[in-house]
Order: sequence, then structure tokens, then C-alpha cells
Amino acid sequence: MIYFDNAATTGKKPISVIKAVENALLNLSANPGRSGHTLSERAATQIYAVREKTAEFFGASGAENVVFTANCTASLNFVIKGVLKRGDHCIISDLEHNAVLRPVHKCGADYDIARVSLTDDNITVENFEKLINPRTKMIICTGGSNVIGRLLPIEKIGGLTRDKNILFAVDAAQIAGVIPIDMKRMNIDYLCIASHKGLYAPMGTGILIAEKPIENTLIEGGTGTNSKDLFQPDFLPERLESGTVNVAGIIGTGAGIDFVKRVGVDKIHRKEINLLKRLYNRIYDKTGVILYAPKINEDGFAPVLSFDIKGLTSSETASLLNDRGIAVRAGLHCAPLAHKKIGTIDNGTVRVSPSFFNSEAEIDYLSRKIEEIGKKYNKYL
Amino acid sequence: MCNGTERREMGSFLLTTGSITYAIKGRDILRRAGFKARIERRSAGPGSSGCGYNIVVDGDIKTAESILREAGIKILQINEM
Repeated sequence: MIYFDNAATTGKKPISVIKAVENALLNLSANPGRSGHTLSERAATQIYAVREKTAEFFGASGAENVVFTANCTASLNFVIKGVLKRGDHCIISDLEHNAVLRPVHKCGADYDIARVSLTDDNITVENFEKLINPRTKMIICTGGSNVIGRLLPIEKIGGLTRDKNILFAVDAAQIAGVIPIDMKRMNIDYLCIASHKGLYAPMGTGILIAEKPIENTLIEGGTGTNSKDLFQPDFLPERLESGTVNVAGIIGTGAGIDFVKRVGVDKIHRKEINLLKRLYNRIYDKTGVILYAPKINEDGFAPVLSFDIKGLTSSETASLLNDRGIAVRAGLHCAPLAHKKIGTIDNGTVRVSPSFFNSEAEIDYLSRKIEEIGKKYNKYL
Repeated sequence: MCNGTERREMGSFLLTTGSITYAIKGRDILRRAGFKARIERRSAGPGSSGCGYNIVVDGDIKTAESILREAGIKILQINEM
């Protein structure tokens, strides 16, 4: 099977990650931060080393601000519901995943949706700025769309939130490990990461890096310390890390960061974008193929490309590709706002998302199969 | 043991931290500064707030304390061993 669904989770993990997870299961199966024996302390020390590595990689101020979660959605819920209250106002973009949209809708704060320009970052920033009012507490936005790959100008938006003295949270599900992120330089207060995607960690791993406080907790419970106190600790990461953490997954995350650093974020992004450019150039003029992106370029896009074949639903196309040994994702990709924006809310799109491990030969095979399906099944040909 | 006002400046000390994360961070910072430091699990006892983690450090406690506070590590209590 050729796997092109890496925006959902990277399908192939580096051997170094697999070995690190195996080693953790073999040698670190002791609960960190709960006991005083050697194995527990060893596990805690290894977990702390991954916190340090993560903080350094994303330009955060300290290892203690790195909170390990189950996934990026959990990280976003911790931020949105932990910071916003009824009566607050926040701004999101029109490319948000439901991991942002639903908790924002649920938390009781008012929200506005800023339009992202697909061609001009300055217009995007202006659109956010226009929506700021005296009650605006936070801007929450994706770093890159999981439907069309469009990157948001997070450094410029971070400059805006700095000037306006409001908080800034970034959903980095599609960009962590693919686009360089420096929280200090970009003025990001809360960074939410899907470790199992661009950091090549196992599924069930996410990270929240919180440079500012999180007032309300979503989960309370054991933290291994001060057990007589009825209240959660007021410091990170324990404030948000009740219960046993995913030791093997976190160790895998550390190995994944090492892998990404070793290869280089720029190199990874360039390779993945070049694969998509290759696909784009091979299918953009094929009859019946609709591409939902202007020309792809490295500066403006995460490695995600959506398309449809006229006359077929996105699910039918994905199913036909699956029959030909290709894994892609069809539908709305949990991002209805993005589909309303590009006019695909009824049919959805077929999404192709390569990783560093995909090859040009695989892209060529995919493009041939798309052409073949277009010719065979397109009702309008 | 003695309280903060009576303690000597050199010796072995227990520094109580709020969490395992801060204990490890503090231990590593002290080691990098040339101190002999390790972590010790603190069990719940009468008058305590529950279990926790201490840093055990040998040497000049004033300097050690100052280094840790500068690094943003909250020390809840210092006891001489």
C-alpha cells in the first residue's frame, strides 16, 4: 500500500523511533513521578529530557512548559477551555479544524472568524486585526490548513497579538516538524502539536507548550505530589498532566524530534512540497480533475493537496484509489469551515499528504491512477 | 534537621520542590554548576501536604538556592540533613 494520508498520521515511522519505543517498553515501564525507586526516577529523567528537547526545538522558554497530551485536539481543548470564559471574545480563521471550532463554540466565549487570503498574507493579518475588539482575549488559528495546505502568517499574526496585548494560540498539527517554529520570535503563547504527525511519534501523542498560564483545568487527579491538597498544582506541567503519562509515546516523540533535527525541517518541507508540485503538474490539466489550490509554492503551503474528480464523490475516488493500493483521505477532514470556503462542503475533497518517506515514483503511480480513474469513471467524459 | 534561620551554609541539604519536573530540572542545573545533587522521593508524613520530590544537594546551600531561584525553580522548604 502506498500511503499518502500523512496529514492524519505519518504512516511510516523512522526506525530510530520504533527502536526508542521498543526500548522504552522494555526498560522504562515504571511510572514516572509516582515512586522513588530507580526505575521510576529513570523514566522521569528520560521524560524530562524529552521536555527539554521539545522546548529547545520549538523555542520555548522552559522544559516545564511542555505538557504531554494524547493528541493535538486535547492540547487545543486544554488551551481554549482553560483560558476562555463566557464573556470573552476570540478570533479564529476560516480554515480551522473542528479541534478548534468545536471547543471555541462550546466554551461560551464569543468568536469571530477571520478570512484567510489564499494569496496575500498581509490581507489575512488585516482581516484578523479588523475583528479585534476590547473584549478580545485570544487569537487561535491553524498554522496550516489540513484541507488545502495554505500556511497562515503566524509570525505576522504573533506580531499583531503582541501589539494588541492579546494571547496567541497556534494549532500546529500540520506544521510542527515541517515548518520552522520559534515560539519566542513568533510570539506564540500556546503551541498545540500532533506529535504523531510531523514529529513521527506513535499515535496517541500530542504536546501543548504553554508560555502563559492556563486558569481552568479540564482533568483533575493524581500528580504524584501534594496529594493531601484538594486542588490541582498551580504550575506546569503537572497542572495539566494528571494520571500516568504515555512513557513509550513520549520517548518516541523525543526520537522523532531527533530524526527531524537530523534531516532538517527545511529539507523535509522542501521534499514534501516538491512531491506535491510533481503531482500537481501531472494532473492539473487532466480532464475531470479539480485541484483546490493555486500553484503550490514552498513559502505558502504545508504538504497537503486536495482534489476531486468530476462526477465522483470524494469517497468514491478515495475508494477507487484504495482498490489500486493507494491510501488517501476523502470527505471533510473535520474542517467544515475550509470546505465552505472552497465550495466543497457537500462533496468534500480527496486529500493527498506525503511525508518525507514518500518517493517520486509513488507520486507518479498516484498521478497515473488518478488519470485512469478520471477516464474510466468520469460521467462527463 | 534545622529550620532556615539556624542552618549552616555548607553540608547536605534537602530542598523541597513542587514536582518531579522541577526536581529534575533543579538537579540538572545544580550538577551543571558543579554541585553533587540527586533526587529523593518524599513520602507523605504528619504535617506534610503529601508525597513529593526533594533535591538532595551537598555544598554551599546559599549559592545552590540562589542558582535555583534564578532559574525559576520554586523551593518550598530547605532542611539540613
